[in-house]
This record gives sequence, structure tokens and C-alpha cells, in this order.
Amino acid sequence: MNAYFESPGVLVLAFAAIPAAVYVIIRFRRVREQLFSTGQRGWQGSRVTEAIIIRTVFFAVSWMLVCTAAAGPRWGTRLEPVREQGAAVVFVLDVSRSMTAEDLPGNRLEFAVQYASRLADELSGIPCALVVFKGTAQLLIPLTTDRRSLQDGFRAASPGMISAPGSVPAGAISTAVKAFPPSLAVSRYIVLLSDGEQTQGSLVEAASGLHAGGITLLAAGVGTVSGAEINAYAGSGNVKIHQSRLDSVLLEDAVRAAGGESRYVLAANPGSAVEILERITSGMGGTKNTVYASRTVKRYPIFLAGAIMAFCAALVAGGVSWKRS
Amino acid sequence: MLYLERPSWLILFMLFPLFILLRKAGFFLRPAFPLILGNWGAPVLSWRSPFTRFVRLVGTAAAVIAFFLAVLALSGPVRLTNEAVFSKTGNTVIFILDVSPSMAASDMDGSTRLDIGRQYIRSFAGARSGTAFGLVGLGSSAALLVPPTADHQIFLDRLDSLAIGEFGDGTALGLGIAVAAAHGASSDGVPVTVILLTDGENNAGEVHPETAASVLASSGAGFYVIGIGSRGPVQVEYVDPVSGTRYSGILESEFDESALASIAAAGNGTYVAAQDRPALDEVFKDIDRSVPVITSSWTRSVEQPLSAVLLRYVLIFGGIAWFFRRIVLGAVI
Repeated sequence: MNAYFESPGVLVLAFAAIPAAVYVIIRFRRVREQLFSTGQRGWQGSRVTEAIIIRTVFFAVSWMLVCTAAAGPRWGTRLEPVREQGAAVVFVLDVSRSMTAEDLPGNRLEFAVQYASRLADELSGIPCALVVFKGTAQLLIPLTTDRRSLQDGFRAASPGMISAPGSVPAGAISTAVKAFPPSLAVSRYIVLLSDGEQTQGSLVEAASGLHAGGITLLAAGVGTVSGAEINAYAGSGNVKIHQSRLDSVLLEDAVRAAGGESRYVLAANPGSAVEILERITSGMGGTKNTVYASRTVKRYPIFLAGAIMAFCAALVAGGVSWKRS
Repeated sequence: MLYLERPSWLILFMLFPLFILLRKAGFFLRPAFPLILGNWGAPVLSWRSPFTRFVRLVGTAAAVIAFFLAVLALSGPVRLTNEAVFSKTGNTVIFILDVSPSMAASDMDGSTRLDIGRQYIRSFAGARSGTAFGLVGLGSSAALLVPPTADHQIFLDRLDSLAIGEFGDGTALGLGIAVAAAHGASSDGVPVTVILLTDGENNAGEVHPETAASVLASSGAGFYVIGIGSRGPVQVEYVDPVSGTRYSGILESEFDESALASIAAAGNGTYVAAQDRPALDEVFKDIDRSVPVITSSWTRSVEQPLSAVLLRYVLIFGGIAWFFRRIVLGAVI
């Protein structure tokens, strides 16, 4: 189940209820002791204590529930109709060092560039963007129908274009999501070309939010399961040989997390590009399509209703208990 | 427009008068106990400190406000706005912006030529959500900085980050027009308009401006050449982005209008001079009329929930109520 808080930082405020409640109870006990010491015994101490504790506990619970509601809890999904016409594609290209492994013709990166370039040529009239990632992700070409710029971007892709080492496909997905302008009501596709190596972040976690944003993930695994050796410190003068393999499991998990029409293909498989093309162009045409995007459901009313009930209970239960005394 | 997702919850407002009523009726009491502070038969001690009354009032009012805001938040208030959306970009506008040092001249009502150009471009783009905007920077060389894109934020961010001297201290008009022509031509058949903002004459680059303009004309693109700036001595001040050196001095501003008019003519375009802000205003109004605003494909309703804001205020007022009653007033019950 996809459960999260919109503003988890607000939850810290909930803990303020504990010292506040302790403060109230300690202060009450001190006052009670002082009253007893001065001979003020015209009231039933045990009943008062009961009333105070009931009130304090309910007030504390009420505060905690309001804080939880304010943190914006969400879980579960519901389908909402979204009108779309046409498509837009963001290519996410892995340019990390592992993409220099030569288990595909040329190497993985050259293969991925050729693959993406051919796909873009076939997507005539569809705006495309290019995100490259290594230790960080960067939007290289914004959504454009200018194929010349896009092809220039593909040609420029190399591990040297980003200095940060590592591989953060999760960051690249976040960058790709931001590359879709909100005013463009089209079917949104992210075509991820990667060998699945990940050094930071969680691709699966990043992909899990895509369907909610009406985005389909089409992941193409670049590389082979047997893999190839690469020098992890290439260009630095040091040598550290590393066996780099295609992590298709991670990419498949990401596609599953993305849900909807998302698909995983092995780039080296004949026909994989056609599958991606068909997926993107299936909804194309002159008509407007109504698609259903899943949205996570806001659950704050449950907590807020509970908070109001606890608040009322504090006022009433404390008062009733006092009346009995 | 404001509306409530769960208006039936507003009935909880009635809990407040019900609470007052029940307490008055004696169904439950406010916890309090008698405290004898005087001698038998002596006048009853009364405590009418204005400060205490004020603090009690603030504490109670904050608690009541917090309660009402919580109920309001529970009813799900939402602000509904209509947003124009597009299924594709209807036309393309590519700006070629001269960033040679003379564009730092402050002769446009106190602003530099570059800054005033930026302002007008920003305003022009702001009214055209369905248009793809591209940006070419121009100096001794020229480069496409932003390909024609519907992502206006990317376009505007790069426009703002353009610096005087970024492309050297010359003016390669031909190269700039050639870059725009090359990228405008690959924009998948949508109408393309190229707008050149410059204050100089061609003195760099390997492409003749009229040749580049004729290539542009052959692609069917609309073409405007705007000669920006006044003539005569003008103050120039800028920092070279490469060396970090600050340059300051007086520039004898002079450019050959006939050359710019010839470039515009070669591109089947229009040349307009804008020596000051009102003139530039007129120029952009003309362009505004000529480049159609693309109507939206349709509009969609965008819901902006207000509950999160209300809940923060509930926490603030709840905190105020507790602080005033427990800390300032020292109440134990």
C-alpha cells in the first residue's frame, strides 16, 4: 500500500503534547499538595485527579490527531478521469560509468543512444525531452519538437558530461517528471534507458509516484545478464575492475511500482523498440482520450474528526466527572 | 470559486452552542474548586485584574477559533480555478537576443537594453501559453540556448541568466539568424516567427546576415528585426562573465539602420527601430497583433484544497490557547 505524509515534518509537533500533559499533571499535583497542607479539604481529591487526567489525556490525543491531520496522511488510490490528446516523451538516459561496458555493440551507451535516436525519429510531431543522469540528473533538452536539438543532445551524451560519480536513476525520474509542463494535457511517457545500476536513492520508490501523475514508465534494459568488465576509475589513472551486469530485476520492479500501462523491455531484443513505439502511439489521433489516473486519497478527515471528538470528549468527560465529585 | 467537499460536517459548528447550553443546564460542570482566602464574615475576595481577564479572553478566543477552523477544515474547503490546457503547441517563436557589450547601455529609461528586452520578452511569453518559445544568444558567436519548447519556465530561466559578454564582444547577426533558421525549420510544420533584438551591425561570424535571412524566408518563417537603443553617447557598465573584469565607460552608440532593414527585407520580414521604451512598447504591440495567440485546447478545473492551511492555523491557535491559559495564566484545570 502506498502510504505517505505530504508534510511529515509537522508530525514533530505531535510530540509536544507529551511534555505539555506531563507539565499540567505535575503542576496540578503541586497545587493539590499545597491545598492539602493549608487544610483545604472541601473537595474530593481523587475525583478531581480523575477529571484532570481525563481532560489532559483527551486534549493531548486531540492535539496529536490534529498534527497528524496537518501532516497530510495519504493512502489508498482512487481513479480519476483525465482528458488527454496526443503524447509527450521524456527520454531518461543513463550516462554512468557502467554504461561504458562493452557487452553490446559499441558499448551500452552507444547502443542506448542509437536506440533512443531511432525511437525519436519515429515519434514525429511528438514533443520529446532528454534527461541524462549519473551521480546527479540533468535536463539536457526540454520538451521540444525540434528534432535537431534532441539529436544533438543524444550525440553529446557521455559519462564525462556529469562530474558527480555514481548512478541515481531515482533522481532522473524526478527530473523527468518536472520536465512535463503542467499546461500540456497529453499522455506522458518516460522512456528510461539504463543498465539498472543504482548507487543512491530508490528507483522503485520514485517510480511508484508516476501513475498518480498520469505518467507511464517504459523501461528499456541496456546490457546483458552476463555483463562485462569495466574500470570503475577510468580516466583517473587508477584501475579497479568491476563486473557490470544488467539489473533487469530492479527495472522490472520499478515498472511494476509505476503501474498502469508501464512496461519493461530488453533493449537488445528485436522488436522491443516497436513495443515502446506502439505503446506511445496507441493513444494518438485527433480525438481526445479520457484516461484514468490513480490518485492517492487524502485521509486527513479521519484524523481531524477524531481530534474534534477527543476535544469534545475532554470538555464533556472532564466536566461530567467533576460533576459527580 | 470556493466550495466544500463535505458540507454536512459543518453541522459540528452546533457543538459550540450545545456545549454552552449543556453547561448552563448543569449537565456537566467546569472543573473548579473553592479556595478560602479570607476570614470568616470578611468581604469576599474578588480578583478583577484587567490583565488576567484579557489573558483569559485571549486563551478562550484562541481555543474557540481553533475549534471553528478545525470544523471548517473537516468540511473540505477547495478553491476551484479553470486552467487552460494545450494538447500541442500551436506556433513557435524564436528570439535572437544580442548580448554584446553595447546591450549594457543604460539608455532605455534608466534600464539597460538587455534588461528592457528581457522584460518585453517575458511579458510577451506570459500571454502565450500555447506557444513554444526558443532562445538564441548572440555575440561574436551564436548558440541555441533553449530549443523551441512549451516549457516556458525553462525558457524564462535561461532568458534571465543571459549575461552581457557571454558570447564575446562582437555581433554575429548572420550566425544568430542561421541558428534560428536551422532550429525553426525542424519544428514539425507549426508556424514559426523569429524575432531579432539587436543594437549593432554585423561584425563577426562566418555567415552573411542577408544569406541567413533568405534561408529563413525560404522556410516560411515570419521575421522581425528590432533595432533597440538610442544614438549618441551612452553609459555602459558590465562585468565580463569569463574574466570577471568590470567594464565601465561611455559608448558612442551608432548603428546602421539601413543594414538592419536590408536584413529584414532579405528575410521577407519587418524592421522596426525602438529608441526608447514607448517605441519598444509600440513594436511589441505590433508583433503581438501579428503573432496569433493560440487558444487553449480545452480548460480543466484545478482544485486547490485549503484544508492544509486551515489545519496549520488550528495548530497555531491551539498552541496560543494552551500557552495563555497554562503558562501565562497558570491555570491547572
